[in-house]
Amino acid sequence: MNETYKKIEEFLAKEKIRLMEQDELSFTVRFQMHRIVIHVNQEDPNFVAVVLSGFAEVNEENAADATYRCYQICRQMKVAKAYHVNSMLLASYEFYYLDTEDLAFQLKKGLGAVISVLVAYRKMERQGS
Amino acid sequence: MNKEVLLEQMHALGFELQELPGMGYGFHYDDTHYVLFWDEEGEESDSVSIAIPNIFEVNPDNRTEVLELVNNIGARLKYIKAVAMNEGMWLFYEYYLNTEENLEELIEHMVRVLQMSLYFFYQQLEGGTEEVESEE
Repeated sequence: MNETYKKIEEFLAKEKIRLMEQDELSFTVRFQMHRIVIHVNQEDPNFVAVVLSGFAEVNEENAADATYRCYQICRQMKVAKAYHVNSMLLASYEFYYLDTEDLAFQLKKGLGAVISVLVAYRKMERQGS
Repeated sequence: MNKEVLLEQMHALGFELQELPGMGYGFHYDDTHYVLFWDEEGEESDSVSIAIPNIFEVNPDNRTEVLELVNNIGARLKYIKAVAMNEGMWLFYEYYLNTEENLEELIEHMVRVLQMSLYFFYQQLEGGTEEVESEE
């Protein structure tokens, strides 16, 4: 268990964010009615990824549209990105934190950002773009 | 945070910045051209972005290939996203700034990760299968 893991655990407790599951390298939290996973990485101790996955399925029929929507989101939103892997759509906010205060700041940004990606993706879906 | 603080840090790290009117600041490192962007977000936090421009030509005939490359880069590289601008694809590392502390560490990290990502990108183009971690 690395230092980052402990700091995230403290952040979640302090902010009273509902922790659903945790294992050695991730925390699954309930945030704004979504399951979001916060990943740490043992080889890259200051790396954290906040990931919201599976909010849309990508198949042969819609793959080109999904790729285009992800691209538009990457263009329009700062730091946050959207992409698909193995038929699953993901929104992520990946960062390198500088100190404990920065970690809390980035985590808050990240949790909000992945929800914004989901909202933007759904809006494009509705608009047929 | 004041933009001047960032520029001072860049200078202290030995990067020679060239102002690119209406865009940002250009600099060279290890035979690669980078562009530094600074955005003041008003009530929001300021952000800094460093990019490697024009790593791949974008034209009407290769749109599908470009979008797939962008998706692949987003999925496989930590911290990095690819964006098509005008007639070229750029690699971006974007960051919301919360502190003036450790800026030097952040800038070095951004440049190193971009450098690794460029290497990864060319490996992908050549059909290489070698995994490259976007980290030191």
